[in-house]
Amino acid sequence: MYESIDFHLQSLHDDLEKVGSESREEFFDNDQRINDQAYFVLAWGQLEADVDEACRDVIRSGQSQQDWRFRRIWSLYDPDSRRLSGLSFENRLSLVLNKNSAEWKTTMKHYELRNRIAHGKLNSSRIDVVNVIEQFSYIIGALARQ
Amino acid sequence: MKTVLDEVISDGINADHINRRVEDWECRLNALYCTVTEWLPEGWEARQGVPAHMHEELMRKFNVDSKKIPTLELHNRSKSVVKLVPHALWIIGSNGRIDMKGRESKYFIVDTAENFAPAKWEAGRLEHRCEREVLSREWIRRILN
Repeated sequence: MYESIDFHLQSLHDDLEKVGSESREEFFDNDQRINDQAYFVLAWGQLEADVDEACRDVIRSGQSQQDWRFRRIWSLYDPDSRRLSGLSFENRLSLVLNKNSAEWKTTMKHYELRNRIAHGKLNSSRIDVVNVIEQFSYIIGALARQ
Repeated sequence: MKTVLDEVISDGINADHINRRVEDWECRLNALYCTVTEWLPEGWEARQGVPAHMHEELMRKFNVDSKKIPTLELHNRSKSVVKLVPHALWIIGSNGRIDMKGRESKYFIVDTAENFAPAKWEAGRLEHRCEREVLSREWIRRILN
């Protein structure tokens, strides 16, 4: 879907380029950027849902420890609560990825970008959505589940 | 700043950094055009195209002057023309993209390397970006034939 829309906008842009209509070209450039950011936020939503799911698994795994000394810290969190007991995204991510890893750092940078876009600060650069989704898939594969 | 994402979310870049990135982009483009020229199949020739105007948002933000950057045209005996035109340098997720437009098909070439690292070019059809592959002599010949 993303590719089809972007390709269509690119074709409209190219047609206008041939007739030298610069202002209309910019109009379609802007549409392409908005399309990039809309799909970026959608892809982010999927990544965040996977982080939450992994986080729930990790909490349940911790709560199932036989030894109370290892189990007690996990009892502070409710894996069934929608907001995961108020854990921030950074803390949720730190439960499922090593904070010193490249994946953790990359995810937090994307989180910063996501926050800017989601809070109305549209980005002026284009996003290679296909490549970003590949990165997200890699991150999802690296999430700890227990 | 290893990636475009770092640059976009950072507050620590300046005009000097932007100028170095633009110079590096021009060098990478020239090197790419040389490589593509070497890889052309029989019957095709490369010509310098009309320079493109580059003045991306980060350049405007740091008052860096616009720049004319090189383009390349590939011509064959039956008058087909394929143009390589830089699309943008600052694209989150890659390190610059060049569009490659013929009469019927549109392709892209992206650098997947980190900033200031040796280029790692990948290419594919604009309509099917998931199916991109490493840019090679074989790819160039396949799309031109």
